[in-house]
Amino acid sequence: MSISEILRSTLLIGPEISLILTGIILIIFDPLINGKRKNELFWIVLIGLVIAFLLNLERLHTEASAFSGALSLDVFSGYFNVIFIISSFFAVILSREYLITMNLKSNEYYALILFSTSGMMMLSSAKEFMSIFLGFEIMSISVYILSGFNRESIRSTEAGIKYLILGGFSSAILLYGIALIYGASGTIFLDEITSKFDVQNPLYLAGSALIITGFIFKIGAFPLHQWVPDIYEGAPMTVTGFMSVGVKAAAFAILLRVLLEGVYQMDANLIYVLWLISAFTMTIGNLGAIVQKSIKRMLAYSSIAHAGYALIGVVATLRGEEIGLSSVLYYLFAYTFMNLGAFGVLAYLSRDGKECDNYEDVSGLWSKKPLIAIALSIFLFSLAGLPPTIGFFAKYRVFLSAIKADFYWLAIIGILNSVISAYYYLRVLVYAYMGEEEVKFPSFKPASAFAITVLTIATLILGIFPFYSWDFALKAAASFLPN
Amino acid sequence: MLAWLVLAPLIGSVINGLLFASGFWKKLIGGDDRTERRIVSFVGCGVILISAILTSILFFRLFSLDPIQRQIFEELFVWISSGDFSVKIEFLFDSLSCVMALVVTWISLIIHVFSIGYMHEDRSYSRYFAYLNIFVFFMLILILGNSFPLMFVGWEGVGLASYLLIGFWYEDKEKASAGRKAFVVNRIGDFGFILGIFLIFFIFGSTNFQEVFGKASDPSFMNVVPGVVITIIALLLFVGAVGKSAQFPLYVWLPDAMAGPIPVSALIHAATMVTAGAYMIARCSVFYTQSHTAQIVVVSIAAFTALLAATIAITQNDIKKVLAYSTISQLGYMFMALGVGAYAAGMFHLVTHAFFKALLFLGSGSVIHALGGEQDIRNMGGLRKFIPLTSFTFLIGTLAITGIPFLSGFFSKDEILGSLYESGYVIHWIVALMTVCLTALYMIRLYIVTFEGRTRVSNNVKSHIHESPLSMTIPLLILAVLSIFGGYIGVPDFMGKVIGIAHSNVFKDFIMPSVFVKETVTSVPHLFGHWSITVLSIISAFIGVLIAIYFYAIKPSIRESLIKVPIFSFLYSFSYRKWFVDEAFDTIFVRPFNALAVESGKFDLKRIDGAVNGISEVVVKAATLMRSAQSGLLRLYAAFMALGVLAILLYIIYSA
Amino acid sequence: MVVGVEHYLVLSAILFIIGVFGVITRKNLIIVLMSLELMLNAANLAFVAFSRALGDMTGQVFMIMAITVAAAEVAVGLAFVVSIYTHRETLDIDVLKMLKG
Repeated sequence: MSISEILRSTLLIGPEISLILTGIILIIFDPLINGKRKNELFWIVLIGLVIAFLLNLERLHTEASAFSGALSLDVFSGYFNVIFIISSFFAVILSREYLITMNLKSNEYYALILFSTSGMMMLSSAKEFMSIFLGFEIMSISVYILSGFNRESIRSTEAGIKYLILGGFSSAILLYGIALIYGASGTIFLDEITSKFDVQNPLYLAGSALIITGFIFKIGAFPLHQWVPDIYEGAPMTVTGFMSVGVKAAAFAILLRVLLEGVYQMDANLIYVLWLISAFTMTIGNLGAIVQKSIKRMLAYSSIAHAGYALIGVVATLRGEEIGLSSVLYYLFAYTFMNLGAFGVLAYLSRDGKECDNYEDVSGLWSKKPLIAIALSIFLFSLAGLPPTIGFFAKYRVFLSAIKADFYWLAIIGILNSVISAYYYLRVLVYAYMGEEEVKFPSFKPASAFAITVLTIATLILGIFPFYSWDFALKAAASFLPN
Repeated sequence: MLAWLVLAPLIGSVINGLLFASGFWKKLIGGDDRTERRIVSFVGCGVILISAILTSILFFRLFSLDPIQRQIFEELFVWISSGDFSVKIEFLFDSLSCVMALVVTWISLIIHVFSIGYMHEDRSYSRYFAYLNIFVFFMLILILGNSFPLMFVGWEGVGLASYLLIGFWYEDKEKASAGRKAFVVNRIGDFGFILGIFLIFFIFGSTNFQEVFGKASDPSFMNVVPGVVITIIALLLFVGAVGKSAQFPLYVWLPDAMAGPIPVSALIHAATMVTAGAYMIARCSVFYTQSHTAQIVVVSIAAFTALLAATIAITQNDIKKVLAYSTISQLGYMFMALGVGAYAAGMFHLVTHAFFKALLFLGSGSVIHALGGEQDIRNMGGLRKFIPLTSFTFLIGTLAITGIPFLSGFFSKDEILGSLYESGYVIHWIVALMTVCLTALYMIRLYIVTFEGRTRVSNNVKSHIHESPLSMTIPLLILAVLSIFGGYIGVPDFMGKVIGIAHSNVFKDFIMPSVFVKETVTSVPHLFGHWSITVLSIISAFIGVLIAIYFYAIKPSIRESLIKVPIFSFLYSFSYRKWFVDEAFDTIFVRPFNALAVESGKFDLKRIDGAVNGISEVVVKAATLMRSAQSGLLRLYAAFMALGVLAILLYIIYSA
Repeated sequence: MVVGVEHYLVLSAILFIIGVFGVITRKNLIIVLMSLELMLNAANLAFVAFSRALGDMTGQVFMIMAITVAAAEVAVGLAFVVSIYTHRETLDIDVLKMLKG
């Protein structure tokens, strides 16, 4: 690789660089600034994210390749970067007051969110396994630390170590899979692997199976889903919100990339595995969510279920249904708003070092904080897939793609599951609107209120007028599908 | 204009909801409660008035058009567009949706006005109007939407509004769970509906009404499509209608839905929302007309529902429950008519039913209001002296639903019975005739026990009884007038001939261009002519009336002694316990699952509140089992992960 | 006997499985972390063996990078171990079951 190629490539990965630089600035300046003004570094984080967003706009209409083909800066990756930046942007805004409530130090926290986001962005554009593995680990290790960020809390620490060990376990499996594929093909570039792929060679088969299970772990799908509820429950609220949308979307991005550009010839074998995984994931997520006493843990289980719904689209894509891919992309986009919003409301309601956790903790919300109650209702309606929210449209697209690809049973299982899910989502509202317990709610938090308002409006407006954002998903999918 | 017609209630709801119900107004401006309530009522009723006036203007515009061109479209924007799938936000105003929209907006207006008086003491006054307005908004979307997805949006929206309004007094756990029951049962129906929509899109490649119905009525296209597919589409859509319109076996939610405020029962659970199923079937007439199997299913379920609900209504003691079962029974009539392809007759009954059932519900509301919340008719009696206006209008409603000649219910019922007989559904016709008799019986009973005879009201309540305020009695009077004269828009042609009018059934002529009917004439030999059918139904109604008067007014003692006879006491309890349907559900679903649960009894039973039936018990069991696997132990998680990876690995290697 | 790539592969598979069993069966947190390292290193061994057999340097570069990543992961892990120990005064992995159900 020549120097000019390195320079050219470096200019192309502006969004990633801006995030990493902002993170480093935070870490350097944190000890230099003292006292109250430390909190003001928050604005630098937002500036960094906005710059990254603006630089990323370039990717939405150009195709480029950087570092000798290691990174493919296409619309697909640009689309996912939008999801990542949005999720970390709102997670950061929501964290501002949440961290103060929970007595946590802020600056390395923000830096870790930025590093993790840059890892996700690397993942979404990676086209060879070294970048994939690096991006995967940059994202994961930052998130491990974030989950255990509240060191005073034994629950948070437990979540951190559990995530680290199980995550390490899955990384090792992924790495072993990469080694096998490398051994079989002699290359780590996805496109070369595709051309050499041999379905008779067990090394290819075993390698790709291990790689895919590594990604399935991060998605949080059956049978590698068990970590999700524990870690999501223990981690700080805003981190959970960030993980459940950002990390999940990144894992889907790389799963799609590897499936469609790397091991596409395996679709015949994989399609039924993923079919089963999708069906089980939805069902198990919903079953788990029904019996929870904690809203946070209920949302953790529901995020398993949502991974299952999104996987329906992946299955349809493998059957060659173009709408399948765009429906997955759209689903992840929609999920970002509604899930981050739901966690945002819970973060808003946390007070005095105690998280808003159990169903009783939102009791009587409607009579004391009606606007927050309305926002919560809209997010939960959207998660349950009721119109006119974005969640309805996203689910509709996913189920439609399954039907178009002749997977009627998968669509039926999905619809049945979403019927069940209405039960536990609405149950939260029963407490919020009808609960009679005396609960104290925190006073007004401007930054979080801003984030929640924007997310609410987006959930509603994109649900009523989904056409433009859907077009965007279609464009991203079209740029990517093998012709 | 169409857009504003639909949007007006939404605007009202947003104003009432965000400004007043959220307490925003209080925080900003303060001010006393009475002014606030005045603004809320003004906004709530005003937006409906705007809708109603716009609908009427559009009606006249539509009426002035040539019958075959009676369609007004209004496209707002493209909602969804992707590949071959696109949905426009587009409204269609043809004679079918015109009739529905007129009924919905005007009846809503009357009931909104009634609510001002009825709800004036409620502390969530503004929330109530916000919900009621949003209901009207979604109902109008359902009616006017020009594609299946748009109709589905309205369909789900009215379900939501109904859920919110049934559980309006949510502090009462029982009422809140009645709301949930309605929501869950409705979703079973919605499941069928949405599958039907998928199938329609799959077959016809579109969800727009014109395109779908155009193709479905085009013989060259239909030759390619197997007939069974049309039957499946028709039946799936019917499942949706069964849920929304409370037909057997999904009718169980409607009696419970009476937990909401009375105007809500009148508007949503009698006059408008529950008839959405009938509207949908009339709209999709092209599928039903072309599938004989679907028609038989619809007619049979409808006839059974009508009879079942009527027999239950005889013995109920809660005034609202009687009316609820009566609604189910009357909806059965509508579906019978739709099932035999007499769409105009079904829609006609929908309209007249909206008049008299709204009247009856509001009348019962006035009674309950007067008695300070009493709903049990055993504690009423003799109320005619105390609240004469209410009792008079209630009597008119009763006579109208009974089918006494020349009131509105008479004409519409007669149309239905006639079309049943003429289409060759003789058994169904007999069932319908029996139901006419039973209807007369339970309605007259209700009237007599409530308003006539000696009063059984306790003395301290008696001192408070008062006639309702004007805002409640004027709606009653308007509805009473409509219940008397509303039927004259659809006088059957053979009756019109007698007084020398050639086309007296204006309503039918208006509706027909919007529905699809086969142009074959049935060649069933006519045992009876039109008139004899009419006379038979009048006779059976009078039999019911006479039985009721005899047993409840003239000789109550005979009734008391009859009930002691074993066979009658069994029949009585059979009806009183609602055909043991609750018990049957219990034996078929709940008990076996419980037994299973006890057998596997390693996991302690954990009842979550609102687990109303056995199915949810099973779900909870499975969840508990899964939860016990979630032990929190890191090593077990790792082991499970390893097993999962191994399973996927082996499958992929061996399946290659 | 010629030691070929197959032998290395078998060895690495054995190491990997030992690592898996270590994570599943051992109760001490430190040993669990070591078992994780073993799994990662089994993969590294496979990389190096393939790299040598294919005559291609990519595998060795990958191995060095993977070691770096593993070091970062273990550093974070040890920080957590310290934190767990201050909370619980034990390294028994089975006491970590506050989060369950």
